[in-house]
Amino acid sequence: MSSANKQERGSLEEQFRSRMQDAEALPTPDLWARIDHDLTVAENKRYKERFVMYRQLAAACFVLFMLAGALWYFQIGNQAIEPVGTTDPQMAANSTSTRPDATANNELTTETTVPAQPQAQAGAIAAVEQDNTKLAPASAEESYKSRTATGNGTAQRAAAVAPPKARQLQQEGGNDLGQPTYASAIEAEQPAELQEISVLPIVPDTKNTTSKVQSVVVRQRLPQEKSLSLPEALQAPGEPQYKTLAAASMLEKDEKENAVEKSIGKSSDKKQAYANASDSRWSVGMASGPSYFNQNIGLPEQMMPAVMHNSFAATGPTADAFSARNMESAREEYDENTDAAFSYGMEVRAGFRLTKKLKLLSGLGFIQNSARTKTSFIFRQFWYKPTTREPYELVSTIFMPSLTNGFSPDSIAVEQTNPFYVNYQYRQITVPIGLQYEGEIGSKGWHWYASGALAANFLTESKISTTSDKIPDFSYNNNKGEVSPFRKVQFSSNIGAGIGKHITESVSVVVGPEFRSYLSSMLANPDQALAPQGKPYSIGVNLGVQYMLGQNKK
Amino acid sequence: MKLFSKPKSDEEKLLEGCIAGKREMQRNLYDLYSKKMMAICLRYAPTNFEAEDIMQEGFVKVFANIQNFKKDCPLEFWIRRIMINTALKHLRQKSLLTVSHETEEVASISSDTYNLTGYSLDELMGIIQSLAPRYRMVFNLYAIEGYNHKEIGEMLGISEGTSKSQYSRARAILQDMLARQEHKIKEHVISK
Repeated sequence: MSSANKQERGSLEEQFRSRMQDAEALPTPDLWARIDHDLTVAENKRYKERFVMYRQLAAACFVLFMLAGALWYFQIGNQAIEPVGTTDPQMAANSTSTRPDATANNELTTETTVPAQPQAQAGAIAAVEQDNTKLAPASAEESYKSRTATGNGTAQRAAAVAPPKARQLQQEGGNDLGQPTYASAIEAEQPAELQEISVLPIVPDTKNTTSKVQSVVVRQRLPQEKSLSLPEALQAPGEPQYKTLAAASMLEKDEKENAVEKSIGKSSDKKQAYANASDSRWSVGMASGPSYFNQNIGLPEQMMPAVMHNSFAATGPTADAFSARNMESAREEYDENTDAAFSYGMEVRAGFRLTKKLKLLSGLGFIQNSARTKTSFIFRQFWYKPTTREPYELVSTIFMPSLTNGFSPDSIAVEQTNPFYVNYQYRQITVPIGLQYEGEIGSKGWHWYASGALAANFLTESKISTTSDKIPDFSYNNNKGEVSPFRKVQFSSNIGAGIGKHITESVSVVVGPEFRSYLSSMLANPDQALAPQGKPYSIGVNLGVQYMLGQNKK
Repeated sequence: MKLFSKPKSDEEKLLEGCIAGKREMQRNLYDLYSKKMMAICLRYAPTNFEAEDIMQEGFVKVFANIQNFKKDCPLEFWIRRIMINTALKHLRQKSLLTVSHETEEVASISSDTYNLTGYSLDELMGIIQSLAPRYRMVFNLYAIEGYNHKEIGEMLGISEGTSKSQYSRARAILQDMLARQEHKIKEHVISK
């Protein structure tokens, strides 16, 4: 036995075990606080992960929803642009093929009286051969039997006379047995040979149906047909050659058509592409651009008629002569040094084509209009509180007091300092609705446009800030319920024109000037303001991109 | 029927509250087991500070995984096991458990009887803490926790023989320390 196996629990182990097994020691009091902190951090981490997961899930749902919506839209759009006329011949063919014969002796002439047949004949370009009576509908089979029983030498097969689309659908669709659905409209009065001639050279109207029609024309003749007289050109080579000739004639004609199409060249394809794009009614777009903004708020010629210095007429605030002179200088400075600052607008637009060239546009946008003044005067107003008569001071530029006629401080002082900038910033949400007229320029995808719109502009924030530390910023956020001296809703008329180019069939870019004229002044109560009011306007550049929705697929 | 359902014990309520993430219940659980767990952590850690670190990490693990507690063993045992594993991980991270596959001759357990009643808990804890980490770990696991050498080998990633060898060495050191301690006490008594 190895020495390792000799080990066992002795007195030492038992002593230690009995003393230490249930021993207790007091942890430091702050240990729980540390654990609590760790648990909080872990919970926040889990919450954050869960939040990210939910956010991703929401994003995925949104994308899925948009994809489903787009798919649904294109599906509906494609159905809407299907030619309506194709349904009638097919209905006519179906009505003839499923039309029950009243009796076994019913002659084929009864079928020719189906009302839909004249329409079907008008669009006739192919024949569908009933090569096997087992594959034919019951009515056709009965008709066939009745024909063979009476020894009628007329048409021995059912021929469908239908436009390509309907025929194609018939061939592709098949019946319940998985076989093609054959129509059985024939003309009883027409001799079989004539029918044969009339159906053989048939060429499809469109290249899309070429291969399918060829497969229809090359067919087996029924034994009963062998006795039929054929044109010599077709009879002489015999049956196999007949089949080949029929197919060859089809191919020859197709090649000719292809050659003609090729001769038209790529330009026609391009035109067709743009035409397809212009067929779509809906479009979405985005526009953005810088602009020059004139807020059109002036200062009165005489800023404070009531200000009296060295005057006995105490009808207004008191100011010393120095301040009064500075006030005049500040006013002149405002008139001379107020310029446009960087203004811009962004819009998301949806368009609906009313006519070929006229489009209805609407959307949602954001506008930030800015202006600024370089000044060097600080305006101090000294007031007394009406109830407590405690003095207090308002510091601003000359612009702020001009916004109201309630300017009647107890005294004022106009201080000249180093030049600084006053920035006026107005943020608006705009909802335009308008019309756009478009026209093509040449064949290379260029086009011009002219647009006019009426927009409702909702002021969300107005801010008057300075680069001077001595003057506080004045900010009015309408979303937070702050009362602003500026008008909350302003209507504007927008006029624009420009040129655009189709980058692809569905994407085009446009550029052009845009003029926005507001229909009212900036201030909510212009009559109560000292400042003379004009209607603001902005002149900008419209840079946009437009995407056509629901265009025809080639 | 709810009328005949077994009333929930305090521990079950505590467990449910902790699973729900109620901080109050977590605090109650901590208060219930913190003293015992602190003693365990002190046995495995070389210092009090490290013992607190181990306990802090261990309790965070307990609350994070308490929904995985299967109730196939007492809750205290489950928490104890988490503390021990945390201590092992802590010592591994600090490279204090350098495995030496020593193949020393394993001495048989002497039949000497020991009486440790004269030692305070702090003294005994100090004796254990003075052992080298690998010896301390094996001694704790074998002598106090009651694991066998095979289990200890699996926990520490060493062979069963190595575990036995290390335990033998740890035991010898402890015996020596206790002998010296007793010698000092005798000298102290004689001098008085």
